Amino acid sequence: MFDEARLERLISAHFDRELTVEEKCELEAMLLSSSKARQLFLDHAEWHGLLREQAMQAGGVTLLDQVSRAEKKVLPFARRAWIAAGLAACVALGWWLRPSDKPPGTEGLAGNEVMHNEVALLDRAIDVEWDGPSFETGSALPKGPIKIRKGTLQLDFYSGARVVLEGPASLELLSPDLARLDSGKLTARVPPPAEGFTVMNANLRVVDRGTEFGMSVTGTNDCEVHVFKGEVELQGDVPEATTRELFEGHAVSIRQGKSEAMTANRDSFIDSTRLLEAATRENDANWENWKTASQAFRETPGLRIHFDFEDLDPSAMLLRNRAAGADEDSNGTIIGCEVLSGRWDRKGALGFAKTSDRVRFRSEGTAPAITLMAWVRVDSLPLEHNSLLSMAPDKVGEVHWKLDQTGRLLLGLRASTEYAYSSWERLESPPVVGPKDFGRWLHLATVIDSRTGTMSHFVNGSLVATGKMSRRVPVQLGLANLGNFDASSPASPTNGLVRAFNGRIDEFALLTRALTAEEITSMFEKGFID
Amino acid sequence: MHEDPLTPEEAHTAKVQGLFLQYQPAVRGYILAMIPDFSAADDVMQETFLTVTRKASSFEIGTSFPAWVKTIARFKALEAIRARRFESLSEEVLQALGAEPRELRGDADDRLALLRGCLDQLAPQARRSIDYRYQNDHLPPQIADLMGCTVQSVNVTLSRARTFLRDCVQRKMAPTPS
Repeated sequence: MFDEARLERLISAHFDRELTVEEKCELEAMLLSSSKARQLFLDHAEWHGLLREQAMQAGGVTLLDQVSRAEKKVLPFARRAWIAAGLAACVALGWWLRPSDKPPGTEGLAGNEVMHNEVALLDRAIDVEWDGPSFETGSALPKGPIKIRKGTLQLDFYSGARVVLEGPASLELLSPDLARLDSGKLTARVPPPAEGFTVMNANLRVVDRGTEFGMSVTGTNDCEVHVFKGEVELQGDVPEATTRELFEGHAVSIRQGKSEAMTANRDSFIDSTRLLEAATRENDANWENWKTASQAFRETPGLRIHFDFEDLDPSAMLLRNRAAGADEDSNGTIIGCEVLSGRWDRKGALGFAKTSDRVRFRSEGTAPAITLMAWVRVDSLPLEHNSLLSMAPDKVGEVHWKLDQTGRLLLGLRASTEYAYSSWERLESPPVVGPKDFGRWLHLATVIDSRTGTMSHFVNGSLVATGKMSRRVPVQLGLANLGNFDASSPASPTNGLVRAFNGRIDEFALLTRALTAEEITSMFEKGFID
Repeated sequence: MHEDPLTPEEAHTAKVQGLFLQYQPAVRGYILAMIPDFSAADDVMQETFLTVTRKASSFEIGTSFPAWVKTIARFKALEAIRARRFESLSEEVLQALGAEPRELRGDADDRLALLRGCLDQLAPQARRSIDYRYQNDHLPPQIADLMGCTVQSVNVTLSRARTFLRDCVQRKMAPTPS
């Protein structure tokens, strides 16, 4: 007998090349004396090999790769040439000999680290033309510059301060309670918890001691500060005669080192009512545009199911199939779910939160190719599998479409009837939904084409994964669940498993043909949010 | 690229090479058991592949490929150990390990796919340690330097991460729908 924990430690030390001479003797004695110890050793070796293999296939992931790759020894030329000659006939198969000089990717950069850098949320962007990097509404803004040529942004700082920035403007986000306005105009509304929120320019710090102020910067030596409510304190390089404390209704302009007291002028800054009106107008216009596109889409060839989630009546439990020529039987049944707003304020959506929530519908027949499309807002990914759509005919050809806990888009197509891992044709994307995407609308699309033997995933109109099918199984339609999963057969090993989706869906389509990448991009653009 | 059809011998060789790829992670694990140094093991992998290619004609399709490739890998590893005096276990132990009845596994593609998913579930520190170890070929003392912690804690992190990954892949291999 041997001490298994000790053996495990020694085996790990062997694979990490840390064994001392004594430990090596100890490990060898254990391995010689017991077959069980040898099996354990070989088991570790197998996983060690698998991890190394995975790492080599994944290529560079960390930034340090660049350094270590340069240090990595290269094969002597003569030997390399010999290998090359030996492998001339099998280049494709000898891929593992490829020197590991792939450019390092960035996928290994943990999302968490990036999030430490975020200081504000982009709440609204109206009629904006970006100058440099652009951001989507709803996204978190990292520290750094924000530049717009025109339009208006509403930023919610994590401290609680709300800033409306009017273009053209250049603002640098420095921390949740500090920003520098290099040019342009802003209005800051600072509730009590965010008191102390500060905006600087080249010479001056404007520290909020009250609730609302406006600031306009037209050059390094040209700045105006208006106090609409409460009080602000001016710090830094302020001309001597200037009052350091500025109260409600007062303003100061500082030009070329000279200051002048003024009356605060609310009208020279955009006010929140006007901003809200403009936002509502834009919102409604986008919704109207989508409605036109959506009605035209009903006639698309091959369209089997189109749920637009408009005019929802949960008491009727009915989700109407808008596909041209669709009959009553193909309408969806709403089970649970809350009626909520969709991509635009007036657009309908269903919220999926409870484990029971789902939309059930039925579509008949088999199809050699299908396309699944949905506009979804993921609120969280709490489960290992978060089901977007699952079909439950329990037959060859059934489809499971879902997101896993790490945000990958997954597709499973049943290719044989046994309950086994190998019974499924699979396609998994790299992680496409991270914590930063929670609460934002995404367009997801997946194409299965058993005629060409390919499966593809698209996110926001771009191809994110594609793969070959080793078994070209046609899709078997049948009873389906949107936003949930049920194992139809009590014999299934997943019977009773929870795979409910948490978030909203405001449009779904199933087509019995493979849409092209161009068509999918166009679908995304027609329903684009901004 | 030439597009001449393959001769029967070439087709056979390609088939054998295909089998090698299928077993490659298992072969790598088997070689690493004898030679834990990654780059020395890479060399032995290459030599094994070349030998498999050269001797492809002596392999009869239908007989056990894992047994055949294991013999070659073992021979190549022993050759390297003898010639280059790698840090390794004694020959007696290697012999005992080689005699252990154990087939190389051929389901590497499935397991690699699952492993990728499991890697993403690791906590950031653990993930970084695993990347440093397997991707950058750093040993625990170097990893400790890079992460600003002790060698002891790197060892603990690595070993917990390996256990987690193994359990995770095995759990996912369970026969559930997709």
